[in-house]
Amino acid sequence: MRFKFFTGLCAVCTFFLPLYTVKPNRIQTGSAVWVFELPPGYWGAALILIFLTVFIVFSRRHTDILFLLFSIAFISLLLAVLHYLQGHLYIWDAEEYGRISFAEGFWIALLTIYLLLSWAYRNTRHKLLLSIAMLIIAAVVMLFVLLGSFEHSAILLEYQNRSQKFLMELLNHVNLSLAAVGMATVIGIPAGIWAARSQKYRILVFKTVNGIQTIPSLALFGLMIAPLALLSRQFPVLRSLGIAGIGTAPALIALTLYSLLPIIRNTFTGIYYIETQIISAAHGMGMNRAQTFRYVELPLSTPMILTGIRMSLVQCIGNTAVAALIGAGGLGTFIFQGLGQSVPDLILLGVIPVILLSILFDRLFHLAEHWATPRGVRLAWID
Amino acid sequence: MHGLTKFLKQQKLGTLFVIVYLLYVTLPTLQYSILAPLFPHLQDILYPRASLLRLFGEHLLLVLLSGISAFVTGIFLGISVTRPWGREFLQSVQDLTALLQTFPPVAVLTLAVPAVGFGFTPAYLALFIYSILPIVRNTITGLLSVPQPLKEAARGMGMTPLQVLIKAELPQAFPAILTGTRISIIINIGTATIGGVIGAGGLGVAIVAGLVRDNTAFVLQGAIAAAGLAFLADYLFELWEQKMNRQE
Repeated sequence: MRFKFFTGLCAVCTFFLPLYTVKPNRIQTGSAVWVFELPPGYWGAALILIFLTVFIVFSRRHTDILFLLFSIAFISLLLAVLHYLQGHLYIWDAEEYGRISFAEGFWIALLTIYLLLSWAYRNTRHKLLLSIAMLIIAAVVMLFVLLGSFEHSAILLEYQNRSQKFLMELLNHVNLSLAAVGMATVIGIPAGIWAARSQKYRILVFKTVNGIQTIPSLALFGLMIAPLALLSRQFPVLRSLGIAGIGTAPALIALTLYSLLPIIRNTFTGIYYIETQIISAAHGMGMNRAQTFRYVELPLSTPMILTGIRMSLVQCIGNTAVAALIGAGGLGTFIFQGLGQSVPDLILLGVIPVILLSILFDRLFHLAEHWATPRGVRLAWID
Repeated sequence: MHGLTKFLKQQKLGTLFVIVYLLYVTLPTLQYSILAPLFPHLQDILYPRASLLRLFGEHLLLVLLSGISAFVTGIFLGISVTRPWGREFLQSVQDLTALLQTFPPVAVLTLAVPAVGFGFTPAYLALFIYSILPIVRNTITGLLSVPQPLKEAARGMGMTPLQVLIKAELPQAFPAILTGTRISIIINIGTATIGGVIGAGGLGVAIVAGLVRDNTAFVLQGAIAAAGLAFLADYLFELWEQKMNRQE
């Protein structure tokens, strides 16, 4: 009841806050647009949605379908308003160079839709059907975007001005993050296994990686510059390989160092905390140490190790954005350009993909963890 | 007095680090004498616009203000969703904080600019929102792991629900809350460094100025101070946790 009340409050708030801002050009601050200053069709729809909200809040049934339909109506209204604004930019003295940005109401609307859909997902009996429905909604919205229906949306305009560069930096970002986490995995898994075997080494390893993790990302990037610049000045071979004080090399090293802690910690935990009976049973079956490792310890700790890699990767995608400050490229380029030019929409063009990438890789690895869990262990959890 | 000397004897290395760090931050001559030999070809060694001490002060203010408000709000939220009247929100708050934690701190910080503009306020807001997350999550975990018999015993002694919360549940959950706060503060120090880009001041200002002007000395001057501050905070939390473990 209280939860539905909160969701309803968010839904109603959406219409009493400006949904969009219309700007005459790139730099000028725009004028806010409320849904109630639009033609009756739009605010009429908004009113109906508000009444529906009240109905949903006070109805005793939790119907997942109702919530789904309500969020579809909500999304449609948001898109319809955007479409109307595009056709009537002249009302706000913004014609050729006019652009539309999102305002507070839009972000609250996103929160409302998230709350509605997550509530529906939690209470539904048909989880698969609901996820397919959500994917279809996302696909329809994407289709509208690709067909160019929202060509005056400010983020898309920023995108169109640098679509080539955007794709390049996106790939660059993903590559850099994956390369760093890949290197950290190659170093981290053996280090974690070693830490599980030897106590003396364990303390040293964890003190070091914990220390590295504590250093602020920008400071670590900064600390990389001086030594690498010195190295490339001393050894021309390195310089010809493209290693310099700024650029990809220091970013990759710093990102790798950062990614070590979650991987080493989880590998260690995964291997160290396997119950001794299981190991004894393996020895009893006549397995030698290598076989025990290959057939018992490794499969049992794989989900834990994957969790570590996931944490590293999510963290790394964020830190790669910072790496743009030392000239390593990536989506951070747009963020810091946007900050430099005071163009909020350019910042969003960098930030939103970074967030989506983090969520995407987080979800993918969650699936991988599920698959990698041995069947026996999964059954044991259910018991 | 006796306690202090005993402490200093036990924590020789730590105390030395704290003293050296504070001297580094306060004395420009010390910074100069460390950095100048490394960069013989540079004219400007120290960031000229503001003293490191001032940047350090701004940084500390930002981190402490956002950290303290997040601590209060986070614990309040964590308590609310574990009471009978807030139970309905527990799952949603856990889901939402898990989702928000996949957002990179830089993203939250820079998103604050389109929302609020440049300066101290957006940085404060972003740090505040981001540092609530670990505190809420750990408060919830801590409170949920308090054994049921303990709560029942407290109630059986005639305590009101508020007394049960304050005298039985919170002390039990406090180690978890402290861990959450430690994570928050360390992330905060790191994110506040990037705050230099959105005009919030702090040690990041020297680093960013160095990067823009291609002056590695400024970068190093700020980076050493920022890394040292993170180590300092981590060390203080370590001491606090050790002290709590001894008391148990």
